[in-house]
Amino acid sequence: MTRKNFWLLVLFVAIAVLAPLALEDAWGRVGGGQTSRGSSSSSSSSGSSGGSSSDGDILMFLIFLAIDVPIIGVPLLLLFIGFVVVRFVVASRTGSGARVGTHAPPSTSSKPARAPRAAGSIAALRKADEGFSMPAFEDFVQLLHRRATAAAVGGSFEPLSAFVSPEAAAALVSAHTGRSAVRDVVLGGIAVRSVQLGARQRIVLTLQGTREEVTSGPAQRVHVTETWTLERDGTAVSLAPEDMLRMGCPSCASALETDTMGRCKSCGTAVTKGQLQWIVTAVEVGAREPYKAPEVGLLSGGDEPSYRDPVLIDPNFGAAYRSLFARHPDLDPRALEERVRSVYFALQAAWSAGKWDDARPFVTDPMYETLRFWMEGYALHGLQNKLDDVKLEKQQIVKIDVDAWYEAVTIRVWGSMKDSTIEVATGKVVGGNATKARRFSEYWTFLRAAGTGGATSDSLHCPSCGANLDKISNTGVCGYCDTRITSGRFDWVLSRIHQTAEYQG
Amino acid sequence: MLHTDQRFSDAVAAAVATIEASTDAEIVVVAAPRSGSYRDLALTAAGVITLAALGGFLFMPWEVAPLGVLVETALVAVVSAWLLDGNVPIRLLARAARMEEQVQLAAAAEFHREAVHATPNRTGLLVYVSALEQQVVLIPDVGLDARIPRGAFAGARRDLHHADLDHFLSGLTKVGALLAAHVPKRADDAIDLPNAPRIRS
Repeated sequence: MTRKNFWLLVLFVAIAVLAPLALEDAWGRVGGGQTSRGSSSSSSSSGSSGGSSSDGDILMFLIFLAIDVPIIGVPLLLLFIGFVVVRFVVASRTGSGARVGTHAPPSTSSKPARAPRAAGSIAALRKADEGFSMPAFEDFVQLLHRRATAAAVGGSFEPLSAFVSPEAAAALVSAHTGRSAVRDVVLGGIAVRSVQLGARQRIVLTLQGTREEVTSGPAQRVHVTETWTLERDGTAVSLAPEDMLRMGCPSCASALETDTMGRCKSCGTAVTKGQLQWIVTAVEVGAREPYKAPEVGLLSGGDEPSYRDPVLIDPNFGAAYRSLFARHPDLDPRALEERVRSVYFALQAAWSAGKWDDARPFVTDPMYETLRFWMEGYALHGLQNKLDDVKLEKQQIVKIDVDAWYEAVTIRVWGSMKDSTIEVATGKVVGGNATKARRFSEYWTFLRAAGTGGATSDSLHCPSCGANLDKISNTGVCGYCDTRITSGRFDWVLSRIHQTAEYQG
Repeated sequence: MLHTDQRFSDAVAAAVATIEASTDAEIVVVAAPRSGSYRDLALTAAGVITLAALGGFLFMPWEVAPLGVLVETALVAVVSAWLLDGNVPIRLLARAARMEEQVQLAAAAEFHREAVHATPNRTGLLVYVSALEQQVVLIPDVGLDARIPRGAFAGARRDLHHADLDHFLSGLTKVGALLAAHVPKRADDAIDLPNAPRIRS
């Protein structure tokens, strides 16, 4: 044996002995890596065995080919092995998911609510930062948007220096040149376009909203689409929702004042580069368009096409349901059902009457703003969306999700109503159908703060002081006790509505 | 061999719905293709095969270029590890005690993952099926453990065959009869949870 061959032998003996030891931790991992050969085993039609006969056939053929015609067979064999390894790595990264054996096929939709990739990335972000909560983040973005827009028109960005970079501030100021005031900013929608994780985390958002702008002429209500990029260090962790909304120093929570080096004057921590909290690093403001009336058209009654779509139940629903009710033994499913019912009717009544403020106690801030955005669209053009004979036929819980700060319950509701749009001045029906009811279904997501007591409260009175709900401000604060009741700290509040055709689980 | 296909899902969901109509117990069925990766076994065996192959290359009567030895040995290592990762080789390589330990560990983890402990009266029952090991494990929560003699569960476990769907359903029905006798239905469930089995991939 030559010296070279001896060391080769030593090398492979070492690999043979050490490889299993290096992988010792695989022992206790449940189902870990079991898709290495049989990714097909996840298919409902395949058996439970991990093997794949087609791969084996190809391999055998290539081995024979490598022996008979090495010049062709060996490269092909290596390519095939490379392919298998890549497939294994991809399967490992995808993770071993779970599914419920019988489930409805996902509904098709031309307008997904959010790109699945972005949704997956949000889940990855939640894994990287256990304190991250999408509802809390949306509240933060909404507040930041309002303050930054106000600062862009004659205001100062100094109190926002930890949240808006000089470049983004300059872009906002430039986009508002010639405006003497911007009033009544309504953010109608926040959509996640992309999420990037790593040493520097980045979220790109599309914000749609309206605002009243004052230039040299009369004030004009315009619709604007903006793209905001928010970044922070990969090591940053989310603050509690109330600390995020305080918008003080992310380190010491005092009112934010920074020195020329970008350090908080109170605690000396550098905070203006997204070291601890999300900071807007880029803003693109799209062209302003006059705020158009919502598109309306006459409709027949009957069932909406998605009314009979299969119910999409979350694969983890059973375990999540048991966990929720074990955590809150006093949470009665029937009381939750009643809460959904009362919120459903209260919202439809407020919408139909054009008094959206009546719905304020039952919805989160972003939800309130989003629906106000649409309602203003009707009102501005002398229209009213009237809903009569409102019925709630059925409801079914389909998903329970618990994040760092909130518990969320998604419920599919089936209902019917006579849905028409009228010209307020003439009473003429210009859209929908005022005579024949239309049946529809939607997925409504309610949330409340984690740690909230189990029982749902009386939906007619303030859950904090018990007074009537007739003095709730736009910010969801009870006029009697000065308590913000729409934060989900007291009861389930509606945070999102998905059309059945758009809902992706 | 039990196949976790749509027929399995539908049949198990129907059987569980029938059982739960006559008992307050909550049955959660989880099916997994295997209860561990067993990659250590596949790699150990691949290492031995690679060593043997290397020995063959080194002591072959004719000359082999060192680069050829390196490539061929690496190839043998990868291919043999891949082939040995299948169900049949793993079943041959793993000792019965090891497989049983893996299944018990995986079942205990599923009990927690599926929150079987979180039913109102602690009357959850996990039925865990592992295909590679060909084993079925029953883990009753304390509420069932208190009301059903352990011996009765041991008997029911014996009846739960993994061999085919019909035998498995037959065993499940016997478990249902046991539950109905000791934990009869008293109140309507507030909500009908999905009864379909959870199938791990």
